[in-house]
Amino acid sequence: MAKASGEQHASPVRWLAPSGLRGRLLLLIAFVLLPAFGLILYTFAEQRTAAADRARGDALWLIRLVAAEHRALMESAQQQLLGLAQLPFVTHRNQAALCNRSFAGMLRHQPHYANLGVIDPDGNLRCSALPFGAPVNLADREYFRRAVQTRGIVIGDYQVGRVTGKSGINVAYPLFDSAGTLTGVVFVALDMASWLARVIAKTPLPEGSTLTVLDPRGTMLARHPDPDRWVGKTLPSAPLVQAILTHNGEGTTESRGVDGVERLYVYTPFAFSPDNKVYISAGIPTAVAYADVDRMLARSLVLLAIIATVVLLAVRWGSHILVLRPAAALIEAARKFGGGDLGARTGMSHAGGEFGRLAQTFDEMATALEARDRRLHAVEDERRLADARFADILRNAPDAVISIDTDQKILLFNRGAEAIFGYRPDEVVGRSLAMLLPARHAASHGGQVRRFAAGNELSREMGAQRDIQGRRKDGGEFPAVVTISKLEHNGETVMTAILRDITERKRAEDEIRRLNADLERRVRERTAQLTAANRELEAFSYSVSHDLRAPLRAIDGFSQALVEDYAGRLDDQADDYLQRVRAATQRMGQLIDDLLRLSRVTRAEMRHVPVDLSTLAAEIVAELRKSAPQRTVETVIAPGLTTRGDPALLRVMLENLLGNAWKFTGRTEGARIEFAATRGDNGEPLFRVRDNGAGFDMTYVDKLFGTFQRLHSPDEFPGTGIGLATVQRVVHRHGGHIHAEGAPGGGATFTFTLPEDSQYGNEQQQQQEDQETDNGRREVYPAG
Amino acid sequence: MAEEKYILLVEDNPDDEALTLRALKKNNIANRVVVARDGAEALDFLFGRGAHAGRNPENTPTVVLLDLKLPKVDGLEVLKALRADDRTRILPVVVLTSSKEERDIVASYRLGANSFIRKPVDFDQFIAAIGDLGLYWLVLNEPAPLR
Repeated sequence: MAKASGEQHASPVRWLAPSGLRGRLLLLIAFVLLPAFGLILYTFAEQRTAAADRARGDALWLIRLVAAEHRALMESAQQQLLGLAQLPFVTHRNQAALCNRSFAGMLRHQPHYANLGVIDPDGNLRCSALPFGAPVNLADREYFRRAVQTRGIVIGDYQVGRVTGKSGINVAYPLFDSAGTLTGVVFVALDMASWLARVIAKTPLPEGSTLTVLDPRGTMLARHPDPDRWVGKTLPSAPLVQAILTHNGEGTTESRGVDGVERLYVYTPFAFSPDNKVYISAGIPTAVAYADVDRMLARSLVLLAIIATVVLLAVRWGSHILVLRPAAALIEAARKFGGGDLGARTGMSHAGGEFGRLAQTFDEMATALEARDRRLHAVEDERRLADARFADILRNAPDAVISIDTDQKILLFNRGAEAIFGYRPDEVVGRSLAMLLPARHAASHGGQVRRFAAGNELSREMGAQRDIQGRRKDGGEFPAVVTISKLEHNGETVMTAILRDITERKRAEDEIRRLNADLERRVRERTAQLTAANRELEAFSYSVSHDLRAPLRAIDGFSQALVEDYAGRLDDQADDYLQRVRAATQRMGQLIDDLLRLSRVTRAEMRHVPVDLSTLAAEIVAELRKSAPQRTVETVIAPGLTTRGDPALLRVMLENLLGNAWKFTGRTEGARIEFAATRGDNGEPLFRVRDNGAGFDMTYVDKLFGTFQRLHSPDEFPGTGIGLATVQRVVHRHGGHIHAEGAPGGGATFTFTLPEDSQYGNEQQQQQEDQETDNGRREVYPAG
Repeated sequence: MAEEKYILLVEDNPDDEALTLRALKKNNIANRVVVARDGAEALDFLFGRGAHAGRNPENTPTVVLLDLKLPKVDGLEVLKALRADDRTRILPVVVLTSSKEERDIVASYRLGANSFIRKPVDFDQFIAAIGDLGLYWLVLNEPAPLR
């Protein structure tokens, strides 16, 4: 509709203006040239009018001149007649011969005279310059009658002479004798044609001009040129004659002459007397009158044409350079761009002018469009890639992916589905989903799917309560898990089920269940065994603590009884043996106690309460001092060392560490025992128990914490080799680490961590004490 | 008239019995020591039944030295039985045993033992312990009045 109206709209526009730029430009140029053309025409019209005026003026001047000449001719003819009237051979009728001779002579000197003659009063020609044969009677001539009548000089009408045969005017004068009786009439016949020729010869008339003398009846009395052809003819219907006769005065007219030539005529009446009137008309051919003007017009037009040609060529060339080329470049760029070449640019300068701006706008638009196109392409590529990826995922997914519509007709059936169900896509697409389900389940599944389709959920795992069964092409059924999701596009709902055959998984689950049951059974058995073993261990340690000690006590007790009761009866050797028996039993008792403690440390239930290690250490040191009041031992216990743990176990630990330190400084002068803490690498407190006692060889550091491992002989330092094993277990049970450093005779340092909420008091104070220690108050005991 | 202060030693091990008696002697504790060789016998003695039927159960020992590991009825069961009976509810019972198992200690005190003494292996220490024990229970301690 819009298109149609546009077309309707376009056509008049196209008609009004050429569609091409060059055409429009040329049209503009034509608009410019048109006034010049008009001006030229106007000037031409003006000049033509001026030329006509000039021609009229010339003609007027000519006819006035002719009239004056005519008058002069008439007057000279009158003078001539007055003179002739005095001559005897004129007045005397009998001197005709002389008269003829004289007149003939005169006629030779008077070129304008057609004839000279005398007429008798009866009208017979008496004498004539031109010879005449038969008598000629001129009594009917108007000039004769008027001369007789008026008895004065008469200028006759234009007439054609009977003797001369020429047109002319006769001037007559009556002759009287002394009595006043008319004796004759002397006349001169003026040869108007030759006169007129002479007058014209003197006058520069343009070529083709005519001069005509008419009488009031329209008879041509004289004409130049071609007098012979026209004189005497009456042409009352000729336009000029009409104009002259109707106008009856001086005037001009432009009309076609009798010879068919267009002329500009000027005419004026001329009269010798009131009743003797003629008209003189001069005609100048319009072609001649307008020749200059027309030439000028032609020149102007030629010039204009040349200018127009030059201008149009210039415009054509200029428009090509200035307009068409950029326009063509723009069009070409637009065409290429439109044709799909998005890299197309105008290649034009963007500087200045509408074309520059247009080119810039176009280039910018093209760049923007190209960028957008690139982006679109990128997006498109991405989308295609995503589609391809999605398609690959769909194709290669081991799960069955099946799309159905709301009527549960299968739309999509991927390769995974083929593998699982054994159908080819063409066997199922378009058919009902029910074919993939066991017949007995189809109805309930269909209902579930329908409810899902109608519901608000977007995805859902089907068969959450019980397994879904699928049916293969061969009729076999298999357990499956199905997730169904819903998508709506353009009002169309598509549901996609992702289905996995879980036969294997089921089997694996069953296997796992079976294995689990088996495992549980075995755990139960093992637990029972362990419980039994534990009970045995308990019984063992109980009986160790009870039953093993009893015999030892008996051995010791009775050995003592022997020593006491048989004193004097046993020799020294026997006493020594009994003492050895007692020592051995007591060591065994200690061993049993330590072992029991070690096992208790391992078995005991842990408590987790705040423990003040500083206080604990102080108590232990106090007990040690009490057990050996004779010893002088410097002890340094940093205050504020706390942790969280089992107080009993921590006490056992510190008892062993401090007890060891106490024991191994037993032979050291200036014995010193220190319990302190420093900050470890990761900020945790590093507790340490340091002594300056016997120390140990680092070679055996690995054995230090082993059960029953001793680095000193019992003679040197008594011990069971269980204490440090117990310490390590306590530390480990608290999640910490312990290590030892030492040198034979160089003392030992036990460093341990207790990660749970440990504090290390005032670090600075400890460092100070460290320095004191390092300042050499320690004495090195010789290695033993 | 004041009843004779005697000690009931419940001990199955003859070695320990001998050593205990020796230790008492070494500490110049001359009080009579009645020895029961298992828990059942101890209870029979204390409640005047079985082999000890006819014995006046109100003639209670000044202190019972009770081993825990006993044939037939063990020490803790004996203690439980004693504390369950009005007649022996406040009878001083010193658990004297080789064990130092915490659970034994806890169980003993929970069942109403008056003291828990572990028999040291070192006989010198054993003598010292028996000496302290005898001094305390037989001399220092004022027994509850008999009703």
